Amino acid sequence: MRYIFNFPDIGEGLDEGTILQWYVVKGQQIKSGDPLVKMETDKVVTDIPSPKTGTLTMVYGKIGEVIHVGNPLVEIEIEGVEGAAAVAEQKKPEFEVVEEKGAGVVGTLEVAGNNAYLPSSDEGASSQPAAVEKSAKKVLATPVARAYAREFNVDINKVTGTGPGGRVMKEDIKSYFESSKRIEDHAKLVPQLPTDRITYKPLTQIRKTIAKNMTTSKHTAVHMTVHEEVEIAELIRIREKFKKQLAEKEIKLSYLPFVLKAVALSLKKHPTLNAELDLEGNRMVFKNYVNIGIAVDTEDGLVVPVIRDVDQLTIAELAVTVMEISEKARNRQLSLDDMKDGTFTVTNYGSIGGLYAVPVINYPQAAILGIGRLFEKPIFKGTEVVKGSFFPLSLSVDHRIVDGGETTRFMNTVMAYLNEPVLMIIE
Amino acid sequence: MKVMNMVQAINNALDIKLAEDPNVVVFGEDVGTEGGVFRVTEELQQKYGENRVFDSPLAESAIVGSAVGMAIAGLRPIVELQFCGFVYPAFNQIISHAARIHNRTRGKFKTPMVIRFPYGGGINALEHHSESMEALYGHIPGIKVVIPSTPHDAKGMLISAIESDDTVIFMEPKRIYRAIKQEVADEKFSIPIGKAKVLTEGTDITVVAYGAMIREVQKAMVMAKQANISIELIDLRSIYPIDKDTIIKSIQKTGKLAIVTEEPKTFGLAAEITSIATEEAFLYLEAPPKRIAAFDTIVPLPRGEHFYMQTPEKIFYELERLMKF
Repeated sequence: MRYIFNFPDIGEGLDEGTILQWYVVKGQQIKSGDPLVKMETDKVVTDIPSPKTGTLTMVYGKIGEVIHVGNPLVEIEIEGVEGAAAVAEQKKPEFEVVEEKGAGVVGTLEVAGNNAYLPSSDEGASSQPAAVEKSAKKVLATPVARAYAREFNVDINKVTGTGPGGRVMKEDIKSYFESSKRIEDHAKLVPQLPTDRITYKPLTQIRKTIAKNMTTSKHTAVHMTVHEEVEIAELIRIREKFKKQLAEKEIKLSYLPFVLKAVALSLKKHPTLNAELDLEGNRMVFKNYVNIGIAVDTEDGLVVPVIRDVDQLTIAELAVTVMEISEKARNRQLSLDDMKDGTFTVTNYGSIGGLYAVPVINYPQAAILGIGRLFEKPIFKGTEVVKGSFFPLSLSVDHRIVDGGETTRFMNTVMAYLNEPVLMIIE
Repeated sequence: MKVMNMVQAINNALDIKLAEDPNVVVFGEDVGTEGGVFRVTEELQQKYGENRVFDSPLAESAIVGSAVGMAIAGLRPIVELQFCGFVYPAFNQIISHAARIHNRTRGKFKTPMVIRFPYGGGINALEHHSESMEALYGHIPGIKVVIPSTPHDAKGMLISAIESDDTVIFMEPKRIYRAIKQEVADEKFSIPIGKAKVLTEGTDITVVAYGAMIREVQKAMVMAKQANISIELIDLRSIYPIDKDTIIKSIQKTGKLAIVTEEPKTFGLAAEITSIATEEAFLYLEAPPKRIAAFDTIVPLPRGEHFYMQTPEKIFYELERLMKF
């Protein structure tokens, strides 16, 4: 009978040992108690004796090799009855299952090994550490919705629920699926374009604001635009006359102060263009002051600083204010105060070379006046054809507030002032 | 601290209460001279005398019935019924008296007593020794039912049971009577009845088990870990009152539930826990709760018992299927 001798646990908690020296060779006769091998473990260097008498038929492991507890060390061929018993002995299962003497009248109770302890518990002791709570990140959903999500191959935990208590509804899954499909489709499209032909730039705050305001205006105000040409020979003459004079004071005199003054005086005569509609309050809001915003083109985008009480300022004062405020706008030094409380807006695209436009109202104001570039064309003076100088004017009004008649009358007034600027002083 | 198995821990709890409270008495078949069929009451009679720890006739209805009388009279009896299959003769005393004297007398009398008995399979015993009928007891209004899974819990919960003014059915998983050792505090401590314990925190599946099944689930969890499945293991401990909060909280985290029990599947405790999950955590469930329970048969004789018991392999198989749902 062959007996396999496994490396025994020779110390508590030991699981392996290193072979230092073999005292025996394969085929050798050995007696029980003879040293077989010198092993080094975590704790000791020790000789392992043979448990049986017989012939060594197999020796496992070379010097320096690591043998784990329970793995075979040697095989011993044992003669006779003792051999059979020895084999039976080693068929014992891994854990000790014994019926302890008197432990029970029926069945076989498993008995814990000497080294197999359950970790101890301190529950019930006077003080216990509080359990740490973890947050759940799973969504609420009925099985129907979960099945639905699975059908669409949607991770339901990524869907925002709109149902009772934030529950994910079938509609939520559907819209999530559709939007993610759109994103997917879009993602498929984008890479097809050569990357050097398109550049993406995140929206600046100012661009977002412009987009929002323009959309609100176009969605709310009912735009109507009228176009006119005003003959300005006299205005040119006056401006030329005073331009140099003001230049000495380092004031640049453009046409804009004249336009602003003309508009301010006209608004006094036609107050509906300086008004606001209060639909909720069921009333018109007339402003007894004239604050005119000037659209200024900057690198970042359009800004509209406001000049206050324009009707009370002289042309020279307006010239100074326009200079200052444009400078501030280009240097991005405008404060929120500089841009609020406007009652009307003037946009001077003519300075860049524009002619006519359909300006978008600076909502909730009632109107906006656009000025194009100065141009010349032949006109009749009596029967003679002479050179005429003109400003093209484009006025957009909110037709909810201002009717066509009043719009035309306002335009006529503005044109009269620009055509004969002296009127601005006389009236 | 002393290293104890569950038998020693229960003996220790009885010892502490016998010493502390003169109203505590222990009796049952063979609990005196012999120290109980599983030696749970060993040496208690020698220590506290025949008036405190004594043998009874072989009549379970008489054992429980007289305990009810003693309890009404002010004692705190702890009776041992030898095997779970021997409890049925005492059912009338349990349901009709122990469970409802307090209510029937409008609170005038109470029945503070503990009915201890070993239950469950896995030790190659006969069928009426091996069954797991906790659902029967959990269904009876007016009593508490507990099952410990460790020596520490057994001691702390038995002390709570003895000190409870209600009748407590204390079921002992005999398969692990001696299979688990643990360091247990020498002094008296108690573990409240009605509180489950989260043994392992996990994120994928909540597994509720108790008694000897805890160890089988823990073996299955070794396989689950290799399969990258994270199990949150809850030791229910108290069958009734049942700790809904712990179960629901865990399901809200994991979204999946499995219950591992030795009981016959139909009408069992696993069904009750499933109902709790669907009633109170319906919107969190990502898969149908899984009952990993035994067949609806009498426990097979020893040679066929392994077909009936839950093994780590069976448990892992079901957990893996649940994970893939």
